[in-house]
Amino acid sequence: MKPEELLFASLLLGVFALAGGAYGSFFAIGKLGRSRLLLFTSRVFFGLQAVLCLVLLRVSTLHLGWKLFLVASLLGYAVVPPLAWSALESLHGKEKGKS
Amino acid sequence: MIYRSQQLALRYFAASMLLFGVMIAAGLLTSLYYLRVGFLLDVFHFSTAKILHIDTLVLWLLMGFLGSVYWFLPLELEREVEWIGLAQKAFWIFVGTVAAVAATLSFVQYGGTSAASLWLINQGRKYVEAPRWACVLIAAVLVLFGVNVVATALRARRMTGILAVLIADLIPLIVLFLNAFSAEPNMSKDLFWWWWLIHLWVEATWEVFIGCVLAWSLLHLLGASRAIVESWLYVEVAMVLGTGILGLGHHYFWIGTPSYWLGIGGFFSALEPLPLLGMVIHAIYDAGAHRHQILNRPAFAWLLAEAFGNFLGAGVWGFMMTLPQINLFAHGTQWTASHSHFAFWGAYGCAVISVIYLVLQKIRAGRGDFESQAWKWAFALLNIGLVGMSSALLIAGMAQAFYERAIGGSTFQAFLTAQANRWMTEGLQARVLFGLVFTLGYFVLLYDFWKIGKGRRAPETTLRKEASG
Repeated sequence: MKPEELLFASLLLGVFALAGGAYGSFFAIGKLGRSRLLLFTSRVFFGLQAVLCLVLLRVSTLHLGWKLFLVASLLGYAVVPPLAWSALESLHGKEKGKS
Repeated sequence: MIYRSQQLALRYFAASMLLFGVMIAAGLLTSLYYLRVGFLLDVFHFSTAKILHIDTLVLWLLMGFLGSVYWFLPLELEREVEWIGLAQKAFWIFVGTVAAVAATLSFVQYGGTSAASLWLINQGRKYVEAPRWACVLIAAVLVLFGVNVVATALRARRMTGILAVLIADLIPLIVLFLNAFSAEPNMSKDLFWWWWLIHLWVEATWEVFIGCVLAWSLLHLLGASRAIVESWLYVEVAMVLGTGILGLGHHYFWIGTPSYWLGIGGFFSALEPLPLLGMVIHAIYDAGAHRHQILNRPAFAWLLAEAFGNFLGAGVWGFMMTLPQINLFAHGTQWTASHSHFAFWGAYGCAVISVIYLVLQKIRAGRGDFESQAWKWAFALLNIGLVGMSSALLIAGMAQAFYERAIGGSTFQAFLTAQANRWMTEGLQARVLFGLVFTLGYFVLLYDFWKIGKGRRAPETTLRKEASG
């Protein structure tokens, strides 16, 4: 890895994870407030994350294995918020049913 | 307050806050050495200030954890903690040991190459510099703490999900600490096992431990359902352990271990943001589901800060530098210091402060008013200070990795060039400024702990009405 690529790749990786966090946070707040605007914003952040992933795949000199890992990781970010949300709703629903 | 165990918890919290202050003072001092060459030369060594900073970091959090369990355990099992008299004595032994070690490291620091130095002065291993006699006593305190928990559960003939997870976690918590006694002369082998103490304590046993404490906090703070809290605890513990245990491998990259650790460590530690994102979703869900029941806003705000801080500090900051190709340059620079500051604060510091607010409300205000302006100032100053310090260290660390490692090839000349680089020097100056903001926040926090909720207890009649209603 060339010196310039070190900073470029690490910053992109940081923003990649940050965009994933923003996607999850806006998704959850949007679900909570039933706000279409916030849910749309969450998708914008996921889109940004996907674009960053694409840039890392095309431009960075990370090894192929790590590039594949990034794609898998992007899929992980895509499914964690909706899965966690539905698991929480299902747990709370069951508890309400019991009481 | 009913239980002696809870009185003990208050002592642990007081000691924890005192050590938090020592950590901040030592940290500020350490940061000044970077700005002035020769600062306190032959008066107070940089290494001593640094040891005090990082050892008190471990100790204030550990004391906060022990205090939390001594507070919640009698509530969980509805009985006094077994052998509480011994636990009270153990607290003073713990405090006395810490004070003696701090004095030894400040005034003696190191001795000759003999076993006596290891036993009496300094073991010379980062984070576990404390001499062996002190480590023996700290191990004994931890064992007694484990016995307190297990014996109380046995005597109560009761086991809850949270308690079962905590008891299972106590085994590695105590066993891994035994690594503090190693005297392996081969540096690679020594570091190999040393990381089992440093990393596995922090990213496995402590994560589980704080998960249990936060589960109890959610029960008492929000009145959340036990079934929900326990189910979520199991899922999060499985995910955190699944990624955290083998994430240990990212410390094995450059210490002489086989190269397969590059793949294992990089893969599992890069997965770590995902469970932390799950925690963020959980925190937002709880904030919405229980927003009308929150009587203790400071505790809840710190709980939210924990979820977001953990994701940002451990997740995002860690992800930036965990892939082996990047870690080759970033490992052990100010970049790492930036990550560790943010991650420790997010994962543990915020949680301990949240529990202290929860406890203060219970003992001072009951269901009465528990609000102040000071907690908001403390919250803002501490978090702005911390994010500022982490960002300043990140800039300095990136400059260091770039100029000293990537361009300069880690030569001594490159080290000097990087130290004089403007990005690095200004980053380190900004770190001191934000450190001062953080220090101010600490004093406001202490003031708020002293004042908040005093004289605000709701009248008994109101409590009875609420209970019957």
